[in-house]
Amino acid sequence: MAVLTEQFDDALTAIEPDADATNAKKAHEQVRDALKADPSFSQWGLESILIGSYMRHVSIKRVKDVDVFCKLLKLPSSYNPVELLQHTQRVLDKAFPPRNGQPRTEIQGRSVKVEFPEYDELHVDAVPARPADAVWEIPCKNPGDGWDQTNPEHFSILSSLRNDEFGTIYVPVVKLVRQTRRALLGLAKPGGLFVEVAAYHAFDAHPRPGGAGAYTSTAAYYANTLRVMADAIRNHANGTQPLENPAMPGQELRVRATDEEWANITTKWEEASSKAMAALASQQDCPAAKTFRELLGQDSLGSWVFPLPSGCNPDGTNRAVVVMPGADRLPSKESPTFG
Amino acid sequence: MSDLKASVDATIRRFDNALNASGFETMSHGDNPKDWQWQGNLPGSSEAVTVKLPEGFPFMPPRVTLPKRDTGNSWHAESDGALCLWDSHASGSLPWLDHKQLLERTQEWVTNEDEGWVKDSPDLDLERYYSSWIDVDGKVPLLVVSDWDKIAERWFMLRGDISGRIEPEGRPRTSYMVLRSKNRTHIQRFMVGRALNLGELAGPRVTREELLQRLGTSRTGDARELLHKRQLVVVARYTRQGLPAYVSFVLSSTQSGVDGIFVIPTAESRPEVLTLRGGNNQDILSKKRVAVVGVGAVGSFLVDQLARSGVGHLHLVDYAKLRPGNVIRHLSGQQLVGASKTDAVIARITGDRCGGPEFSTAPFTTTVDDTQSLLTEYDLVINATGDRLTQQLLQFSAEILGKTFLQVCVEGHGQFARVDVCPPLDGAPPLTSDGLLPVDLTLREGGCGDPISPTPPSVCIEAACMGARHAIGLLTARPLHPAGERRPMGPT
Repeated sequence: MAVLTEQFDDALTAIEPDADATNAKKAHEQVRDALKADPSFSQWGLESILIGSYMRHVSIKRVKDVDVFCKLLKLPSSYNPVELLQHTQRVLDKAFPPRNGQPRTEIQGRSVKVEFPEYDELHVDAVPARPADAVWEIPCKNPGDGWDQTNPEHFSILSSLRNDEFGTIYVPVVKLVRQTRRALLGLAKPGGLFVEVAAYHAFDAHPRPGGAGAYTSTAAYYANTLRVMADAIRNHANGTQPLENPAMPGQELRVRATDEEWANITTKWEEASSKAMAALASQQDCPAAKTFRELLGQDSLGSWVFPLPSGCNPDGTNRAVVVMPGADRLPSKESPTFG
Repeated sequence: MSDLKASVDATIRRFDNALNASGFETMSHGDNPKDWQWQGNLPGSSEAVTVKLPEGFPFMPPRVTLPKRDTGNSWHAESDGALCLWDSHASGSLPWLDHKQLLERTQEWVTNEDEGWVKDSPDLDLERYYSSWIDVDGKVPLLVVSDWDKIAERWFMLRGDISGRIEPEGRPRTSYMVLRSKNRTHIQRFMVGRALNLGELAGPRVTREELLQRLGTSRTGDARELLHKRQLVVVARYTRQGLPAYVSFVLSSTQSGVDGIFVIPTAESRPEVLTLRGGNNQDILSKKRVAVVGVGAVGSFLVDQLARSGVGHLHLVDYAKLRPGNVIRHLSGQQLVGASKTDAVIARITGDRCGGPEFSTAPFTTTVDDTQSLLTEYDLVINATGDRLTQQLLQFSAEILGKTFLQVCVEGHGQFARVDVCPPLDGAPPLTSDGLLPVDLTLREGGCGDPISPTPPSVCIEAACMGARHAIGLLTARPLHPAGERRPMGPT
């Protein structure tokens, strides 16, 4: 088994958002303050929170967009989604005027996007929401179609529980899975949320810590999560067993992707999971490390996320001598010697 | 990163892989081996195990502890709870690098601990169970006990020397008060010691309180009161399965050290201990008398080997004095220059260690009467002169008297070391003298008639050791070879 403990740890460090996280927080605060300064939003009882991968702590470098969930506790029922989005954009336009002749805000589907060029091309998607019993309603992807129900905090709670259940390994593995998706698909769909949900459900199949057959390493969790996800992705793509939306129990996860994109991710994920399982089972660290390196790909600066161990050549061959048990290499072999 | 570091890292990764495959979880890791730690259970058991690596891994065993057990006073665990899984002999094959052996060994330890270590052979090095050792200027001293009976249950002064040896000095007394009154001028400058017999120990750790209790009060001196004023060294004799050993503790008024005590390693120097490592033939050799003719470059080391091996009586024959230029190829040191070589060898051997053989000396062996005396009065005669005339004389006498002797010498100025059994036993052919190359002798010293032989010191010592082995073979009636041994030593 090749667990490559240090290398997986280094890979997680390599994809940790760091500075992006700080910028995301600052951008959220600016959007929140801008909206709060508006009398209408203030009257509507605005409370804003960051949601999405950032809130669930599964963001990976580079964080390009941040979702701000704008809870409007007292939004009058007369407001329709189109009007709400337009009002939101007007308020944000005032706070974030065009720069260099280019507008910084734009209505995109169910949110208003605000560009923050000073934060390294980060943008904030402000999603207005109104209460609907135990959940929330947000504009549909086509706002003219009305409201969609959602509960982003619920997925965050579930993620946190999952993480506690598995001794805090769940969040790191989801980050690695998201990085794998990025390495395999780049900008193509489906995106990070889909694989995160698939990973969430994959953990149902994993033995619990301390139980029989429990995994003991990041490598084992990562490879086995890819393995379980391969089936889940195929079944979701072909419609035989769609994934449930964890944010809305009972609701199917709806993801935008073409048939070609579904075929692409299904094939690539199966290949990736086979390679990962073979690398995990390998008795040779260096070829296994090369496989994990290829699966996790490179960061935005072109550096490999997964480092090869010292003593491994870039082609996966080994140049380090491993000290083995036994006395065969001693001149006197097992004979007791005295000096 | 160096190749050595990369190889150590690769070895740690292999170990990490193997423990993970056995259900252990890596709890910490880093650049240094001692950053690594695992937790898990023994296979098929609820016995929790923690494994940590020492800095010297893989050439030092991992530190294995059992967090659910108190191994504090086990004979088979270190003071920090790390299990003693292998002794130094078993460690040579790095068994811990096979994770199965590591876990099996740990399981054996648990089983033995639960059963009370019924097949235990006692280790007699109590000091290694303590982590606080006294040191003087960075060096750990050794306390040497030469006569336990003299100091048992008594008080005494202790003196140390620059080498780090500490030993009881002067006359031991029954009470501290008497010791103090008899040593008024010295008592403040020297350490005070008290010898205690602890008997058979149930566990390795003796506490400060136990020692204080044993030291007692009233007439023998109140140890607690004494400790307010100064340190006290307790020299303790203990037994394990009836075998005696010693350890010393330093007690002071401050609760320093671990559990308020420091330890000084302690050893005995009685004659029986001094000869423990002299080999298995001492019983036989102690009754033997051996004459060595010539105690120069070969003979001096030969005599030393025979003395160390336990020969009872050594008769040394040599007329020459030890000159400064001899010392580099002689047993004796510069401080013995000017003495006869026989006296110098005796002084060196008897000054170096207690006990040892009886010695006698003679200056010459030049007549048949001399050789007849040697061959009939001694169990073995050895010609280590390298002088062919002496060899002629001994050979002539031995053949007529029907005796056997040894010639031990260097041939060809260092080209061969040889031992000849004279005459060879059982009609065996004698050793040859072929393969010798001519040697130019160019070195001379004032006062020496002959040119100096370029024979290296190591060849002389090797010849001497060969001679000693063959001599012991003859003396114990197990000759190594009927004719002797001739070994090439390389070009001069």
